[in-house]
Amino acid sequence: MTLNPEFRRNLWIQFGETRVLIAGILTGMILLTALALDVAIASARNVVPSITVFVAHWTAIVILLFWAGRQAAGAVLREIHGRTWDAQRLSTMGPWRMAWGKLFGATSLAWTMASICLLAYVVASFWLRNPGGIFTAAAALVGYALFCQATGLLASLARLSGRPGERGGSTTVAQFFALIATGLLAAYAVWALQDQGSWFGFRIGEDALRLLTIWLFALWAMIGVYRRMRRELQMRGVPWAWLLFLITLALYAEGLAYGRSPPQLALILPATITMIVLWAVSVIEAKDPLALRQCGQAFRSGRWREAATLVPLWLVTYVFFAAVIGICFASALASDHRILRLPRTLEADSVLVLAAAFLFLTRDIFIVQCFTFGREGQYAGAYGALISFVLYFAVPVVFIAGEQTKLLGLFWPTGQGGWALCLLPAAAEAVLAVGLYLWRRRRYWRENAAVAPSA
Amino acid sequence: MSIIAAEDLVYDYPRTRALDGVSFGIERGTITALVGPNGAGKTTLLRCLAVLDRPAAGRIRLDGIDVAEHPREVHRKLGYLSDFYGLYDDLTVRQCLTYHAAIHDIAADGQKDAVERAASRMDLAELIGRRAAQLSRGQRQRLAIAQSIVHDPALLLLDEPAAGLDPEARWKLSSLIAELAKGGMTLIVSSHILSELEDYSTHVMIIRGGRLVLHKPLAEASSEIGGAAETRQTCMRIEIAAPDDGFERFLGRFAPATRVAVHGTSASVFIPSDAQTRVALLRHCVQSGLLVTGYTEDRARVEEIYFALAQGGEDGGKSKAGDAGKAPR
Repeated sequence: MTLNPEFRRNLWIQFGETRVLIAGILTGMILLTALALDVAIASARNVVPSITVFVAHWTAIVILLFWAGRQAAGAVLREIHGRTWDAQRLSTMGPWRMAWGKLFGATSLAWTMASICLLAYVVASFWLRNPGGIFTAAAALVGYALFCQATGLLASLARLSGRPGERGGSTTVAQFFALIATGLLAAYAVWALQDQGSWFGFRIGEDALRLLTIWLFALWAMIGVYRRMRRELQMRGVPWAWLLFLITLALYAEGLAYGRSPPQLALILPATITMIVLWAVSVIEAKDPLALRQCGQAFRSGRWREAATLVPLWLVTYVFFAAVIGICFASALASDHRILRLPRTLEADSVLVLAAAFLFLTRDIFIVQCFTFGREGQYAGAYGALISFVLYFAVPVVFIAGEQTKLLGLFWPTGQGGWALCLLPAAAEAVLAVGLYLWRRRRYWRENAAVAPSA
Repeated sequence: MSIIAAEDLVYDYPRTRALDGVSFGIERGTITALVGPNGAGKTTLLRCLAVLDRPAAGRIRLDGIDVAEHPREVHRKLGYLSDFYGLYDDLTVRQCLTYHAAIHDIAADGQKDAVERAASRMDLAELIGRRAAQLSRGQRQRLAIAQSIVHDPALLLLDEPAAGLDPEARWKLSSLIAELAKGGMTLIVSSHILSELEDYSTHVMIIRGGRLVLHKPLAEASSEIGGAAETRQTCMRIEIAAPDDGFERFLGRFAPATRVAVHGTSASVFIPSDAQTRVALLRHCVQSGLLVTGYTEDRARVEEIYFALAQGGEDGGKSKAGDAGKAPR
């Protein structure tokens, strides 16, 4: 069996003498200092390595999330900036080998140092005679680390457009996305899964559910890296994996909401998670107006498969989100007949909230798309995120400060104030955003009509 | 049989169409000089052939394989050197070449031989243990070329391979390209150094504004510049002893000349190929007081063809490229 060439190349680079020496000395010094402190403050007979446990655990966390996270986030971007990426794309390696060779190769030295820290953590915990939960904590840390690293690499790949000259990006931005995502996952696992030990009624246990959740997301992040790597290696395909991911998310959320109160949670939770994913993907995904136009042309001429290979993920998610909202409405309308056999029909307020959320999100997505058809299309995601921040946080804060909470419905899906106040502003903003998008798109293609230069 | 068959390639950038209905076939064992002005679409064409970019429309087949359907299979048979390439500075020459051999599916037991053969071809055998960061610019270029041929591809695409090379290295590169073609490899070489392309090219492909202006064997292309077959032309090369301000002016006064191109102390003059006109041109030069040191019939020159077709008027270009891959639209 031959070693993955990409993994081996990374090992050659990562395990250079200087790197190993510096990393080894730093890690060793940190652990030995902690141990020395434990010994220094211990009584003559009993050394209690509590400082070592704490330091080893947190050093492993810092190494895996920040150092290895940065290495993973920059694994492809370094190749692009170093002009070696094209040579790698010309290889005969498959996307999975390339993906894991990069993910684990670029982080190999960091993982080695983190393993030493984790070993020190486990040994010191046993020494403390407090082994309870250490393997769970270590397994969770490894899961978080894999999620963070894979998400960083995925974010960098997702921001690559298909156009030469527009390719690249910032490792810091990709790592920032990964750290935010990991923070959200950790917050969710710690707080949202508290006292939550069953899924679709099956009793799993709180810790086990937490671990399964972390590893589920880590697994999907790695699948995402694989799928995006396929695209980079010019192996186009229908985005079935993304659709499967969305379905998995919805099912996961549905399983958690099952049998819980209030019953409408069973519909609102999947819709909320899909909403967050839709907003995130519309901001992060690379913007390629030409691919969008080619997708439209293929669709109109009945070349379905080609259209499916070109369709952006935000559009897939948007359609999926619309379907989820549709199911919610159906539930509300089917109150007498229970045709969908959903847990419980939604109350009117909940329907209003979902409808308003759909309209607001439509507005947000088309604002991002408006910027895509501008002069600085590469910053469309950043501009869209900034406008969302203003609309969802800055302006509402002003209303709240001025005690005008009734006006919050202009920018938040509050569900208050009846149909008129809840839906009309959201609908008007959505229509305005879609109109603006159509106008800018028409103007963009008029100005940048792709024609051969008239020589 | 063609090793490459490209049909109706279209590639768009937001503000321009880089390739506009480009179609052609490349014969095995040939060396094609790909020339054209900046922004003509040369690099885009090479990147599409290398399956690094995907055209909006059209189809490319390499050895009968549809490159869009089977990009990995195509990469087994293809080598590509980008005009802006990078190297792994922390790795040695041996490691760089071993890596490229491995990612092109060369089995572990065959990698050592492949690495040594590529290093030897590019005169890198003595530098095999040196880190890429320690190499000179020319040595780095040679390493980059060695990486692209380490798996003995059937088709090699070189984008500006001579950039940054000293004259000796350029001469060696020309020899290597000719040697690779003799070994059965097919090459497409894009370069701005037109005078070098003619040393080894068998075919010339001129692209302008995303359209194929001409694609022919070099010898055939030469005759096209002169005009119709009944007025067959030849290119005479004249060398003079020292630079002369009046060189071009004197030659321009020779009435039968259809085109004159002066490069320092040498000039290319297109005239009817009959003996009297040749004698008359030499007499004209001597009588003009030029210190003629050389007077030979030139073979087809890429540079002349390029200037005549690619940078010439649109009408001229079109009328003289009647059987280029596809008539311009």
